[in-house]
Amino acid sequence: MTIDNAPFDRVSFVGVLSRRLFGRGGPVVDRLALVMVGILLVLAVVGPWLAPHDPYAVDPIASLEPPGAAYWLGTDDTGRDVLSRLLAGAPLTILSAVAVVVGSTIIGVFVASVATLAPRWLDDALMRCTEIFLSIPSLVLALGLTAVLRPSLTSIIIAMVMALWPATARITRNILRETMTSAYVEAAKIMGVSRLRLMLRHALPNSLDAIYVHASMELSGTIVMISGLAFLGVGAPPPSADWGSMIAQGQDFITTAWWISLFPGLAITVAALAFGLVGDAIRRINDPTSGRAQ
Amino acid sequence: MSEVLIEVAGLTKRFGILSALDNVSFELRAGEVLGLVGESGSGKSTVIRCLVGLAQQTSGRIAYRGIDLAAATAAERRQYRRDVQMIFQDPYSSLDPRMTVQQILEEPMLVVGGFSARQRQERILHLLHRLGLKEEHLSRYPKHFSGGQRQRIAIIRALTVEPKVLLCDEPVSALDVSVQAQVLNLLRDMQKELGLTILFVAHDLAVVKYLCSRVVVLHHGIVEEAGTVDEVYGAPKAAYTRELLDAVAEPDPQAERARRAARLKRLAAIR
Amino acid sequence: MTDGAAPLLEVERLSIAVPAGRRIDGASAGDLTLVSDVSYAIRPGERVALVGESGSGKSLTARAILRLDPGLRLSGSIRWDGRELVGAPEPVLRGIRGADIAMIFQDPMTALNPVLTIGEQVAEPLTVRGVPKKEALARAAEMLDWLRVPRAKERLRSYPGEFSGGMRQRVVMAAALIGRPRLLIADEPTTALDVRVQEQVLDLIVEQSSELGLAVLFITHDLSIVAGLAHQVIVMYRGEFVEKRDVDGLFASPRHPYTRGLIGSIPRLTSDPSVRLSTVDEYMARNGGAADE
Repeated sequence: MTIDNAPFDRVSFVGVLSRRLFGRGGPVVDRLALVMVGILLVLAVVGPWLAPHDPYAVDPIASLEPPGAAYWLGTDDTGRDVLSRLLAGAPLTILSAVAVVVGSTIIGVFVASVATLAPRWLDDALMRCTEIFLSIPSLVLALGLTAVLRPSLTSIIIAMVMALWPATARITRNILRETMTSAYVEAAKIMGVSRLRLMLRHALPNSLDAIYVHASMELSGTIVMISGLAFLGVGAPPPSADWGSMIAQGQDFITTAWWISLFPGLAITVAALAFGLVGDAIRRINDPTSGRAQ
Repeated sequence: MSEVLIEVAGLTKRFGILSALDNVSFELRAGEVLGLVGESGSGKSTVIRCLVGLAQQTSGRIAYRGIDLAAATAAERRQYRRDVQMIFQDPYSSLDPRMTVQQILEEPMLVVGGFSARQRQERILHLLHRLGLKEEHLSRYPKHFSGGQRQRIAIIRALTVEPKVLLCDEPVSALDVSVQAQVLNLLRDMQKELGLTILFVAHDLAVVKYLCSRVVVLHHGIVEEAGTVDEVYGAPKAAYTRELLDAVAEPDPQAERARRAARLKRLAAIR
Repeated sequence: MTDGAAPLLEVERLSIAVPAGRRIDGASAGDLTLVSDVSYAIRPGERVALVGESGSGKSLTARAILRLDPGLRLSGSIRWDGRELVGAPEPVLRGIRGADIAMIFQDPMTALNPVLTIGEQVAEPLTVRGVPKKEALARAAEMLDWLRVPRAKERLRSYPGEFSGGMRQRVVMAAALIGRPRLLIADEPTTALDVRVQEQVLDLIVEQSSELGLAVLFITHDLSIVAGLAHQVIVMYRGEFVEKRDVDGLFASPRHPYTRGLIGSIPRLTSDPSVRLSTVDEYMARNGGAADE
C-alpha cells in the first residue's frame, strides 16, 4: 500500500477517537459506556423538559410515595417527584462538572504555558505554588474555599476550579516540557521561530491529546466530588435538585423512604462509572499502538 | 581555493567535568561536501547543535563568512539562519505530526519573510516535483508517509529558503538501505544542481565516502584526523581511523571470511 | 558444519497472520497476512542469515519458532528435532526456550533487568531448571570468562548499568549460551552498536558457533555483515522469501531483482564514488516488480 492509495484518515484527536470507538472491534464495555455518556449528556441538556412533574412543586398529599405508577421513582417528603427532580438535577450536576473540568483545564493550561515559556526562576516559582496547592487534599481545599463564598452551586464550581487547576497545570507543564524538546520543535527553533510561536503553533497542538485524556479522566471524579460537596451542604440551599443535595435531603428517611436518596445515588454512580470508562477508553486509545506509517 | 563559509575554531563543550568536544577545529568551504565521522559519543551531533544554536559551546569560535556568530548583529544572525539549514536524523520526529505537508513546507519561508504567497507556492511545487513527490501529498500529514518520503519532505523544507549550507545530522541512518540509496542520490543531485555546501555527519564510513570529498574524524570530542577522503581512507595516519576502517564490513564473502579468520586467529592466540 | 546431517530446524510453508479481531489498522474483513508461505531448514552448526528491510517480516519469522507472539496465528509447520512446534502446548515451548534454542535481541540494555546482578541473570536459564544457585553462578562465571568479560568472577555481582553496550551484549550472550543450546537466534544484535563493537560481537558469534557447533539464525537488515558470517542467506521482502542461496552464490550472482537492487544500493569503501548507487526501484521496475515509494 503506497501513499497514493492509503486511506486518508484524519489526524485530529476527535477523528481518531471516533474511528476507534465507533469502528469495528471496539470493546463492548467501551461502547456501552459511550452510549451511557451520550444519554447523560442529552439529559443534561433537555432533562428538565422531560420531567413528568414539576420538580419543585410541593404536594403534601403525595409525600413519601414509594415508586409506583404515578410517580415512577417515588416522591420525597414534600411530595416532589423524585424522577422529575433527578431530570432537573442532571444539568446541575453534570454541566457543573463539565464547567469545573473546562475551567480548571483552561487555567491549568494557561499557567503551564506561561511556566514553560518563562525564565527558570518564574517557572520554579509557579511550580512551587502549584505544589503547595497540590499538597492539600482537593476536597478539603474546596470545602475551605466554599466556606468563604455564599453556599451555592456556583460557589462549588468556583471552589473546585480553584482546587483542581494545579493538578492540570502540573501535568500539562510536564507534557509541554517534553513536547518542546521534540525534534520538530527544534527544527522550527532553528528556523528562527520565537518561543511563543513554538509554544502556540507546535507544542500546544501536539499536547492537546494528552490534555484531553487528563480532562476526560477528571470528569468522573469531579461529578462525585461536586455531589459530595453539595451533600455536605455547601451547595445550593434545599429546593435544589442537584443529585448531591437530593441525597442529603433524603438522609432522614433512609430506612423508610429509601428511594429518595437511593436514586440520586445510583445516578451519580452510573454517571461517574460511565464517564470514567469513557475516560479510560480515551486514554487507552490514545496510547501509541499504531504510531508510524508502515 | 574557495571561500570558507563556516569556520569552527577551538570548539569546546563541557558538561561539568565531561568534555563532549575538546578543541575541535575545521573549515567548511563553499561548494564542498564535508563529512564528520565518529561513533556514538564522539561529539559529532554536538558540533551540529552548536552550529545551529541548539547548544551553546563552552569556548571556541564559530564564524560564518568571517563573521563571528557570537558577535553578530541581529540582521547577520537572521541571514545565517536563512543560509544555513538542517536535516535531522529521525524522519519520524522531525516533522510536526499535526501540520500538513503544505504547512510544514511553508513555515521556513513564512519565518524568514520576503516571499509572496505565489512565490511560496511556486517554490514548494517546484521542489516537490523535483524530489519526486506529488501535489496531492501537500494536504496529507507526515504519518501517511514512509521514512524515506519524510526525509525528502525535510530536505524540501530546508531547500525552500534557498540556503547555502545544509547541515545533515545522520540523515540516512534511520532509513532502510534501499531508501538510503535514494536519499543519498538525491542529496548528491541537489548538491550539484544548486551548488550547495554540505556538512554531512555520519557514523557510516562507506556512506561518507560516497558523498563527501573531505572528511574529519572525531573520537571522544577530539579531531583524530582530517583531510580529503582519499588521504584519510587510503593512508590513515591515526590509529583510531585505521581501527574504524578495519571494522567496516564489505559485501564480499571471501574477503570478509579471510579477515575474520585472521582476527579470530589473533584472538585465539591470546586465550 | 556437518553436511548431510539431519536438519535441526525444519520450517515448511509457514504463514503468520494477525487474526481479524485483533487488527488495529481499521481495515475490516479477514486476517492480515504478515508472512506467507516460507520454507527453510537449518542444519547443525549452520549459520543462516535472514535478511530484509523493515516490514519484510524477518523478525516475525524468527520469533515464530519460539512462539514469542502468541496473538498471531501460525499455519504451516515448524519442526525442531523432528518435533512439531506449531500448536504444541506451552510447556513444550518453555522447555525449549533457553535450553535447546536461545535468543538474543537488538538492545542489550532492555534485555537485561537493571535491578538484578548480571550473575543472577546469566545463571537464570539454569536456576529455573533446578540447578543449585552456587553451581549455576560458577557456570555463569565460566561462561563470562569464556566470552572474554574481564574479571568475570568479581563482575557477577555487578549490575547491567555498569557495563558498556558491547559488554552487555556479551552478558546477554552468556545467558543465552549457558544452557548449551543447539540453535542461537540473534535478532539484529548489532544494529544498535558502533561499528567496532559490532565487529567484536559478530566475531564472537562466529567463534562460538564454530567452537561449539552452534547453529545460528541471524536476522539483520545489513547485507554487508552477512557476507562474512553466514553459510546460507535468505532474503525477505514484504513477508515473502525472495531468494534463498548459499552466501557466495548470492553475492556473486544474485537472481532476484530485489536482491540485485539491495546489493547495488550498498555504498562500499572499495567502490568508485562517481558510480551512482543503484536503487531497488530501478531493478524492480526494469523487471516488472512492484516499486515502492
